[in-house]
Amino acid sequence: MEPTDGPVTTEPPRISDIMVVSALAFLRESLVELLGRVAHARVCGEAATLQHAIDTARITKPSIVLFDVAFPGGPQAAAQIAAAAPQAGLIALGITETEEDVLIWAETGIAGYVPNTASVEDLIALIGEISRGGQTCPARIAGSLLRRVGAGRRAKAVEAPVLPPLTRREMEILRLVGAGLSNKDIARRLSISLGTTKSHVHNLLGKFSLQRRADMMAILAGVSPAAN
Amino acid sequence: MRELRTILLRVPPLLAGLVERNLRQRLVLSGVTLTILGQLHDVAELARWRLEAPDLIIAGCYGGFEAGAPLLAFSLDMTQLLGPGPADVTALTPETLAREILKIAGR
Repeated sequence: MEPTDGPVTTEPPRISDIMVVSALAFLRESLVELLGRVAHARVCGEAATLQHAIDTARITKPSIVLFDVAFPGGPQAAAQIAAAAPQAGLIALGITETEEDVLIWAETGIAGYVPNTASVEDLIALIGEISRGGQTCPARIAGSLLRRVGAGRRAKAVEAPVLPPLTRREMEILRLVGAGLSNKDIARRLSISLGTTKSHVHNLLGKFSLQRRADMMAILAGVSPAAN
Repeated sequence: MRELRTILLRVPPLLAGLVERNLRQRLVLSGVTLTILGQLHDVAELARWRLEAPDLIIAGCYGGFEAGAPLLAFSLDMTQLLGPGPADVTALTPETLAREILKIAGR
């Protein structure tokens, strides 16, 4: 069958089930009314208090929580609601679009945000975009987020333990210690004496500046060794 | 249809849109249309618009200026609707805003 030329179909807006959270009656009721008329959107709940928001989120299982950033408790409240609805993408409504504020809310784990300069048309467009996994934001905000992610990764790399220079035999023994073998098993595996094995393990502890074999195993397992 | 020629003063864009869209339907059912003459960001701009003789000013702030027309204002914390009289205070909801606008329109 020959492929036919035709118009490329665009991805339809996802939006879906929205829960509106705001302590302000005018904003909350107006948004519920507005979103009730938006295609592909269904308002599944609204809440004015934190406990009501948590309870409603658990019951209605929204795909989107539209969260007014002026809500009492701010990011902490948002995090609690998000925990009650782990399947939902939380959209922070009314953010001041500065790098600092966006980063604060990004670290809360939001799926997206609507700035406080947004119009109704912007709000509807952004909800649709965020529901499809996107987020329009100024280049400086995108750059700031990238730098923050990069800084986080570099910090983790710095914390990672660096191996001191090891001989081939020491590397072999280190691997077997990490696998949980005893000195006796290592000696048998490598066909060397128990004394030689213990000597190598002792040298390895010295090179890593460790006191105990268990600490070396902990490092190899990627966990912090117990404090002395 | 009674037309209310209205100015929005220091109303954030989202709220302005909600006022315009959501109220329109409520008001039309009562025979009133809201015509937004302008959205002003500064009280100083109001003087120029007085020549337009608006029927209503909806403000995101209250006090500190001469409205020159019936004024409905949001409290700073957005929980109350102030006006049109100096002692008139009511909880701010879409319904109360529509009701006060209809009173001003004589409905």
